[in-house]
Amino acid sequence: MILPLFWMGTANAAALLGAEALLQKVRNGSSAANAVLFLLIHLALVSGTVLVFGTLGLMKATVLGLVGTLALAIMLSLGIRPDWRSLKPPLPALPLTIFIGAVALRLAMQVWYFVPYVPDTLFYHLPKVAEWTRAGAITREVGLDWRANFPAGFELLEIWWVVFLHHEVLIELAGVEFLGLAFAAVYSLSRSAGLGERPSYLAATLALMTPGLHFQATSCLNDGAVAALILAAFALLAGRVHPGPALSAVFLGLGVKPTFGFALPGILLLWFLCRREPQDRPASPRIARGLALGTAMVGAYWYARNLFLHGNPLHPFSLHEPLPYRDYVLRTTPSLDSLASNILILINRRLYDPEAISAQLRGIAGWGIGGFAIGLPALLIAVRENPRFKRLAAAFGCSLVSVLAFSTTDAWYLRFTLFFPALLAVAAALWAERDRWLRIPIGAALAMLFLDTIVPYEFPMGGVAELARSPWRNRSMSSFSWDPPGNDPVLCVEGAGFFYRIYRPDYSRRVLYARPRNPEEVLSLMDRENIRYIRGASTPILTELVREGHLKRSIGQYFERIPRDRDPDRSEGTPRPPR
Amino acid sequence: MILLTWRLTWYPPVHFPNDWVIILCLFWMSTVCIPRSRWQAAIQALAVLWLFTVYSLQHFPLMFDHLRLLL
Repeated sequence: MILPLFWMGTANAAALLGAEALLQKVRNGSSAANAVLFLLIHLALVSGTVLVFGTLGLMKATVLGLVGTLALAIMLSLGIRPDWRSLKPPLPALPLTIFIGAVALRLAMQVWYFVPYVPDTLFYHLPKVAEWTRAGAITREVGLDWRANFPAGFELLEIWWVVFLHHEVLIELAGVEFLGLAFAAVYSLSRSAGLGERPSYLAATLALMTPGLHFQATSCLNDGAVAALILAAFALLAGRVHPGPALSAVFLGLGVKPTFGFALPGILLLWFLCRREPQDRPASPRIARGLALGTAMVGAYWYARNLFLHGNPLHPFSLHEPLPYRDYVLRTTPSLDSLASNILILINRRLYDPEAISAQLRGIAGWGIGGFAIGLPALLIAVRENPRFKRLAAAFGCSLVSVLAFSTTDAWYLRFTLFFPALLAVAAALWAERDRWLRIPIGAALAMLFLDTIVPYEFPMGGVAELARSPWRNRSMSSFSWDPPGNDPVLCVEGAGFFYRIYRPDYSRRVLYARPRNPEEVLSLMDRENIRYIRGASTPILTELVREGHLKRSIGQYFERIPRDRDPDRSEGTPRPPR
Repeated sequence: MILLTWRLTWYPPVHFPNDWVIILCLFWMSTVCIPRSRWQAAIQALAVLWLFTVYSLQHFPLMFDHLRLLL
């Protein structure tokens, strides 16, 4: 365990120092925007590293650790050092410092104790992480779920946090990094709106405590990451940063999830409104352009991969044909019907968050009491009185309308709007700067938001106690899935689900995916790979194998192979008749 | 005023006093029509308190139920 920790430490130190070195070449604009830029470069470096080593089949702790150590040694020998002065930002007011410290401590505990729990992540986000971590490479295998072919930019960060320990215990740190990016971006936006340093921390804290955004960070879902990258793009444009780095946020965002594109009209509007503002020239415009090009390659990788493997960059979506799984077509033009219905559902019901907060935001907006009770009225004042804020509000509003027009109305569509409460947070901080009495309701709102973000709604009953009791090495919630005994591989076929849990927290179990056409294929695969358990639905193939005595039903979705001496065909020594 | 008119006429039913759009409209009118004073601050504080209350009534009973079951 010591060596993997050492590799993880040196690789992360190298990534941080590399980001700092690049920042020196491209920094310009306000200092708050440069903090956003630093985090963005760091995310881009880590994503690019995992992508390159994964494509080369060298995504192993030892290789990444050795390369990181080497890179660290070279940078230190070249005299590259962190700029400690820029790493000492002014602190917020003492009560807010204590609050932020408590939130950070709780986030650390959530990372340590939470295990992936959202069904979507267990079905199609994380099986890729487990499969590729086991293989040490970005392979073609992504599992059986049709959504597994979506871009996996966020998964690259998750792999970074699991590959060294070969364990999922730190996997939520990927989301927490993006939450940090959102915090820095809102701070920068507040500074751009004319707020001082301390009130800007208040805005950033209110945004940090947006319940939807907060739970997304520790849920392994990628909508929080998309929201953070949208905020980063806004912050860099408003902070008068060179367009190259600002484009990096856009490219990384599109690589995390195509829904980032829904918010592009607002980003373009802000660029248009800010285009005449004087910009500092970065020390190296070439490196700034190179950064944009590098992130474009990282973001485009997933679309190119889908084009190469499936002939369609947006696979499994089609611009013409409905998906075979649902009556659902990717919308390439905004719909006024969707816009109207999404707005009405938002203002009539979901804005009240009429449920406990879930990471997937099922039936709620997840903007929280701060955004609702203080942010909305504050928005009216800020738009009226602050010209700089008016520009931001126009851009955010444009993105919100665009997202709502592009989103299909369902129980979860408001997870695409998690960037918008940041604007409400900035407005609330502006109002609190003007009217000091507002600090009382803001304090009350922060306390309520702290309570709201303890445990997500998706947790099963008894889940918290179970996680707290379990040792970290094999921590899991048994209610999600039964773990078959032994270390034999498990075969997943049509109708199976919760694939990720089969790998176990330390990825020690091999999982095979198959799309068999007949029972013989299943049997031959089970023989060849020494498989005892199959996970799947009662499809005709598995039903026939049960009827013929090769399999028996086990727990949940599992089928168990009947030992060979009891296998009717084999015990009688007769080959199976050909079909 | 346009928003308020729309909310009261074109888009029934109005879930008064649960309707945050009406509260926001009144809030907006207080900032435009009343000069900055204690009166204005008092009206704004009432609006914030109202919004706090309607949100809390909708959200927190369910949230506390959820926490009680889980912890």
